[in-house]
Amino acid sequence: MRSATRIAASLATLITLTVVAAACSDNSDSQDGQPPTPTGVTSTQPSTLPTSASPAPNETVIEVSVMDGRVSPSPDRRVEVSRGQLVRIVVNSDVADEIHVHGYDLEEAVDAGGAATLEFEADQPGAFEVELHDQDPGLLFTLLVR
Amino acid sequence: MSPIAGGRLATDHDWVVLAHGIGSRQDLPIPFSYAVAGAVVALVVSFAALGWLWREPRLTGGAAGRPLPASLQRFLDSAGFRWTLRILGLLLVGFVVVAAVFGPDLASNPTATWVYVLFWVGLVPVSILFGPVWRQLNPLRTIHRGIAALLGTPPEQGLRPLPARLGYWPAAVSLFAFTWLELVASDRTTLPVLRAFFGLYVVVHLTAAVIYGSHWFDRGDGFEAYSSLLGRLSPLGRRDDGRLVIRSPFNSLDALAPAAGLVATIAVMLGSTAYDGFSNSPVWIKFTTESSMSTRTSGTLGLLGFVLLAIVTYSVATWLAGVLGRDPGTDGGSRRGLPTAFAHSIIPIAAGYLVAHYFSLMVFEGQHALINASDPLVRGWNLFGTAERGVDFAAVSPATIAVVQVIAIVAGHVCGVVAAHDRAVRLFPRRQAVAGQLPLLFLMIGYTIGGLLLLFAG
Repeated sequence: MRSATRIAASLATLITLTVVAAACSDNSDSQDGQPPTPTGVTSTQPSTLPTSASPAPNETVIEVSVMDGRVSPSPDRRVEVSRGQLVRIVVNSDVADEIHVHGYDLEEAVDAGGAATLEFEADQPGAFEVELHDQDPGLLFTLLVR
Repeated sequence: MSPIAGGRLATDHDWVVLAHGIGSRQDLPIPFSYAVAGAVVALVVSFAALGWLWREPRLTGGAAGRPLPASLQRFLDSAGFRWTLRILGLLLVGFVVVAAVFGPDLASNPTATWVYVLFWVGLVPVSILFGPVWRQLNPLRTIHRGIAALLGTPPEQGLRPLPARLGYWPAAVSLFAFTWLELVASDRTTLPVLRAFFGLYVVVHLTAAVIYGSHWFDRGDGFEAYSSLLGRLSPLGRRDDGRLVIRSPFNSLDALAPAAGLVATIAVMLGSTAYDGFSNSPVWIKFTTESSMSTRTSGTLGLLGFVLLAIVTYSVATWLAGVLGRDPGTDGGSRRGLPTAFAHSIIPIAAGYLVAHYFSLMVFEGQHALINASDPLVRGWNLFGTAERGVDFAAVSPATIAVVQVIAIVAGHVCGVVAAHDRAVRLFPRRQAVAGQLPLLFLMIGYTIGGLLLLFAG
């Protein structure tokens, strides 16, 4: 049995080395590659002058609309933002409901035929579902904070 | 805007909709290069194992192990130590029962995080480290012991013998019921739902234990079977002669006795975790939004589908192994026992899936559980001095989580391959041993690449 343990130990070392090597090489990749900008997402340029109505510099605006029980754009989309970025979520809905950003535990009510806006700094990394409370399924999109 | 108390939600319905079983934060997809690296290592190790590993069986299973000092064994086996564990189990569960019965149905009630995180997810590392711990702590066993004492019968003796053909089937059903609650049921974190589920659980298992005796819990109680099967990966074990020993987990796996329903139980462990990952993937989200099914129906079908997929793929692989590894001179009658004969080798893979999927939940939501524990009835108490703390989301970085996930999946694969290899060289004649291993090897590679894909795309 000793040899089994030895083999297991050397395999564990091999795995660790390979994954660490992958981890090191990956850092450079992710910095070069810009995440694709999905539809319904506007990234404002840092050069834009902030006014009271327009988004702050470096703010990502994510628009979603809910009409006749359909979410558009399709709720399987994932919106990527960098950690620390400001995020503004604008939801237009034809039903009254509650918008919930998971993990950040933010809630905002939306009236039927109205719009609701949630604004926050994405300071916590992870994947977070943004959804309506009373719909089944109520997912609007998934926010990826890297 | 609903009331937010102290930064935490305090609405009284649908509070903290817990997406990942529990927990509102999910892991970021692992980088593609990690998935590729993990897959490459798994492939290389798999085929290297065929050529390099021993040709004669080396594992001695239940006979193996270096005994612990006799004094330590006397202490661990003493009635005092056993009763300490039983009382600890009663206290921990009693604490949650008080919160569940007398506490308000609010997000800061600790019940849901204690059930889904500290208990269900926490059982994984504790069992892997120390063995079948739930068997020692299980308050149902202790209550049943009390009932037996009142009836004046030994706890092992029921009204009728436990039929051997039941095997692990009751555990498979009870585990499936719990994973359905965890991953599919609506309002699964609310107190009425949790009270109903566990109320029913207690009634069913205590009744069964009274009928069949305390052996019911060994393979009937899903949580005990879960803890015992994962406990096969612990370096602690009990030798056939009763001595507590330190031994290679490969021997503990090897010593697992085949029984009916064992494959189904392990398939529930593997399939439910895989479904948990898949249910967050864009593919599944797209499917559920476009289908007319309710999320409960699609979730039930999805969970059941993944468990059946695990059973079917495993059964096909072991059937093929029997065909390819059979000695042409015999009639192949011994093939019938093959599916169960390799079931132990899937346990490390299931454990790898569990660690990969629940590691960050344990780290982050585990903190929630300890914070909320200070105020179990949500009355502003601070019993353990943790009530004012916040969750430290910087405890582990996304990069660390990704590395842990890939290592867990690949390490589970490697252990599975080694465990299956030894069993194959014991069961198959030497000439057919390599061919006989191939189907299971491809199955494990499939599970592993599937697991990595779920982490990458899920």
